[in-house]
Amino acid sequence: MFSSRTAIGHKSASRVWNASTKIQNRLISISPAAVQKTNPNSNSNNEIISKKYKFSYETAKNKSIQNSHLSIPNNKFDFANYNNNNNDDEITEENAKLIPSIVSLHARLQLSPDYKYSTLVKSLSCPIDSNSNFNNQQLSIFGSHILSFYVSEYLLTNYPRLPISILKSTIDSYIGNFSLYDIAKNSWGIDEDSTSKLEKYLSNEPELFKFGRLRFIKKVTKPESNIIKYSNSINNPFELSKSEAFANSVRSIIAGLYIHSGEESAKNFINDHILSRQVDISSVFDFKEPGKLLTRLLKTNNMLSPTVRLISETGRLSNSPIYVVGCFSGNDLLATGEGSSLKEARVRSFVRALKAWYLYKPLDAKVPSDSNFNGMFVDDGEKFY
Amino acid sequence: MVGVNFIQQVSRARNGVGAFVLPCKRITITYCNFGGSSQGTRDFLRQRLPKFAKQYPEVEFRVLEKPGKHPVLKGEYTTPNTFTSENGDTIKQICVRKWNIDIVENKLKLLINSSGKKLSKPKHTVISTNPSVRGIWSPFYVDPNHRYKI
Repeated sequence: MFSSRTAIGHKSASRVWNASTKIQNRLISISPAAVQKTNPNSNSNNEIISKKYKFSYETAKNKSIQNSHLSIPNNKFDFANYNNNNNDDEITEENAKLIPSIVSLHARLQLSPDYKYSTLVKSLSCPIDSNSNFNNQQLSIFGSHILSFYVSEYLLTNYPRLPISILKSTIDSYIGNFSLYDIAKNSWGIDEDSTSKLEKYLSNEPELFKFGRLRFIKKVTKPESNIIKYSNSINNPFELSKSEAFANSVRSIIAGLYIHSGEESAKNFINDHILSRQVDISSVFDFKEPGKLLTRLLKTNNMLSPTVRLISETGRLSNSPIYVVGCFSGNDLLATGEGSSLKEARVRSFVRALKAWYLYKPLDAKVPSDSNFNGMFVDDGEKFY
Repeated sequence: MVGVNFIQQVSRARNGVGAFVLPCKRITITYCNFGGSSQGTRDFLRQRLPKFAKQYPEVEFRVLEKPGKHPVLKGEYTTPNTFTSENGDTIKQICVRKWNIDIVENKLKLLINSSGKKLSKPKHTVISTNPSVRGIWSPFYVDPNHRYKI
């Protein structure tokens, strides 16, 4: 029944290694916190892609606050004490305490008593016009920096061998717009202010209560039926998509936590609310030609090129055979793979061997912001591009 | 990296791993100011509501007068995709017609402690999003001497 170990020929890499263009056209938006001003003259597709390709550090340049309005603390690293001086239309702390949804959100997130209710109100107000400074724009930029720092340090230390594209995609799956939208809407219970002014008037609701919900100008992607759009150029720069607005509120709340309660509690909050969520990193990988990649990987690590050997099989002559093959480098078994054909089993063993390498996780990894961090190798895995 | 593409994911919530956020975010109590069926609810509003609401700061309480209607307790939840109201929020409603003050309080506790999900009989003893620790069973785990010969 069991054949002796038979070597299945492993095709040598003969085709030219093509740089896949898909990777360059990645649409990652780690923090589109700042208002994106679109240039009406440029309509080419590349232009749009490069605009969406934004990381937190890029948005920092895009600040819309004048230096004269900014009071900078003596210690410039004291990020919590930068202040905007002309906050004339700010909601006072007393008024913020009167809004029930703000008070209950404060309690639901178990924020410390130092955390001001007015900051929470500010976090829920997205920029609506250029006259008012009372919005979460600056807060959300600050928050996205904090988030990307803590999430990337966690991933870099826990999975030091992840390729850069996978790393960025994984960071995005923790703190991208859609994940943060899910946090804001489906676990923190932030409401969106979708009622019209007439409805507010009719419902007899106090004027103050509108600040308890997330306020933003909704981006209209599809015009209503029977409405013809004539002009492309009129774009409100303050328009936000729903997910972006909710995500910015989460970023701002985290920035507020840093400001009021300090770095340590912001870190713990991110650990509890963001990094505790489930992301299956092994299913992020999508290998095009796993055999070739494994050959190259072994070569750069001075190991023998992969050999696939049949370990066991059943029902070769039936309609549902199963083969179990092992992927070996010399005498070392890298991974096994099972499948209903020899080819399927072979490819599966390659993919598992690659994932076993890339998803290496050190035991009890310390992140750089921990006090007892001793330094480590990062990105040891990516020796070729 | 060349040869490695990615499949974008969205992280999945695991409430209680790390932080626990109470799913119930809002309770709306509607009552009639004269009807006999609202007697127990009115008693609750007068005597116990301030103290009760203080015990649950996570929940926003709303009181709504609806003359001529039976009293209803409505809970709104953050949990998505179950019973939904007009604005897409998950809700659960309990009619407390003719119930006395203690039952009204217990029903409120029931609403607050609920996850907002529809009640259903669990089909599996363990429900988890994690992959199995044991892995997938394979016919090769069986001792070769006891295997069925094809």
